[in-house]
Amino acid sequence: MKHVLMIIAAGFLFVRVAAAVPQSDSEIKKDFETRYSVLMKSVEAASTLDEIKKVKADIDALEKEFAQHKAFLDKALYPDDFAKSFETLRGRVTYSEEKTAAVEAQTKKVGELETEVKSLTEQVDKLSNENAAILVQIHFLESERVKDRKKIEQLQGLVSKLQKNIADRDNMIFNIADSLFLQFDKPTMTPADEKQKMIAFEKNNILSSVKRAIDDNVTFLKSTTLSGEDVIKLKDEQKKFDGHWKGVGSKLAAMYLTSKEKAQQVPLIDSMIADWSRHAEKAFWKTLNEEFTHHNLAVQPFTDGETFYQNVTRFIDNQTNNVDNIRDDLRYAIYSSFADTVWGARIAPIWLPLLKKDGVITENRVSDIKARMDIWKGKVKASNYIIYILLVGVIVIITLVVFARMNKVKVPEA
Amino acid sequence: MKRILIAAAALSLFGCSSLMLQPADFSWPVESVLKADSKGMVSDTRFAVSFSIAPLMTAERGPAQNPAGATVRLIRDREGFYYITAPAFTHVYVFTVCDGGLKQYRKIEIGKTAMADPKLNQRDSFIELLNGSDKCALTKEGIMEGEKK
Repeated sequence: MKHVLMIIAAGFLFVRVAAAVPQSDSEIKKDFETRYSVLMKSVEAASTLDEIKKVKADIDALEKEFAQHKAFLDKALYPDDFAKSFETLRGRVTYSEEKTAAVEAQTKKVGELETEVKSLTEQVDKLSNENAAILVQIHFLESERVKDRKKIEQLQGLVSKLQKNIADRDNMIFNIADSLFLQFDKPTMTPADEKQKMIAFEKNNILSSVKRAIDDNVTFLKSTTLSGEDVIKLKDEQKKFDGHWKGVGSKLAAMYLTSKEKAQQVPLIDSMIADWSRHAEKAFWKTLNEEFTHHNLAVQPFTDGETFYQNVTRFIDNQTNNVDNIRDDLRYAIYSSFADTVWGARIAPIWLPLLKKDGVITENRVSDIKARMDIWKGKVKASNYIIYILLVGVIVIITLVVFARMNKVKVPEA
Repeated sequence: MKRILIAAAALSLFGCSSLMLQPADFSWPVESVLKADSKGMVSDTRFAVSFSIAPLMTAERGPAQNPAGATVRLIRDREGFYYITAPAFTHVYVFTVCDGGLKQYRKIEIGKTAMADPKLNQRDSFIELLNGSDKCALTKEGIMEGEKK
């Protein structure tokens, strides 16, 4: 296209040089308009910064060549004048230059992203395999009632690394999708452009990458070694992924209108994400419940914010109302385990922020739980005070008895 | 009595004199090259003018001439006169606007042989006619003295 335009431009130049006869004003106007039109097409066809640079030089040359006819062209060109015509043309060049620069930068970035994604995917594969192997080892050690601390720490480290890499990889996939959409973001898309866009998405395996990312995340969620922090992060990751997919998915659905097979992939991914969301939700509540059960606190299992509040308050109320029926040495231990070890050290700083952020639990309900805990604490301490008073009383009596005996023994010596 | 009649006549003449807007410039910066449609009509979108060239083609080439598809070159001078010519013409026609049409003001003979490729240019005080390497200056009255080359 570029060469054709150059040949046409050169042809006009030759005709002008060869013409020995006087040129009429209408010919000057027509000549100008034709060459202007060729340059305008060249601007639109330019796809590299070098091509744009060449067009800019051609525009300068055209302006210089027709400057002698400026007074005439100011009147003859309609509705623009000579200066306005070049202003318009250069405006297009600037737009095209910015667009081309953006596309070139984006293409470079996409290339970098592809490499990064490839590298990350390899890392994730490696980590996933390592993780699977260590999980098998841990299960074996647990079944043998042996706790290999070093191995567990190693696994935890790998899980954290894998989690970070999966999150990075997820972001990368959507970055690539966004970049590709940006790359093919044109005011008017021809069928050829649409086809090229689809090919680019196919080449970058966007749909399969998204599906794999979902699979990886779900597999990760099903891991038995996830901590509360891990589950919270994964739930957050699921929400971010869902948000990204809503943006990209609708564009992909529009893009694949002509491809029935590909179009079916979009609702399939929607359902995979919904499934992932269910898994994330289930893992979230299960892990939160385990915070209590791992400390032998018999809070009934819960599956949502409502049952969480109901079961936790029921547990506190039961403990408060049955303080007298619990062994003396256990009363305070149970309270301390709940209030300090679980609620104070785990639930309040780690879980509650997310529960509040998601609107799962209100500030009023949290205050209500704290108030009930205070009542429980009061009862536990009251019973402790009686024990302390009794103990002090016993110690005083024993001391008095001892002193009395000692005095009794000393009298005969005197 | 005599004075009264003179004053009345003077007032009457003053009331009848038409309003003139001057100076005015009707010149087109560049000629329009217009192609006739199947009905022999030509039209210029920029200057919003259209008319039939059928009578012109008949006058120049005879009654058998079909004007459809014919190309004419049209320009308007500073005073508002239209100059029309076309390939194979020997004349440039000068028209002025009249009620619902253009009325011939002058028919300027350029030569005995038909022009191959006539073109009209707007110049400060005249219309320039080019025909190949020949050129001459035209006014509504005809070829300017000493200007034909």
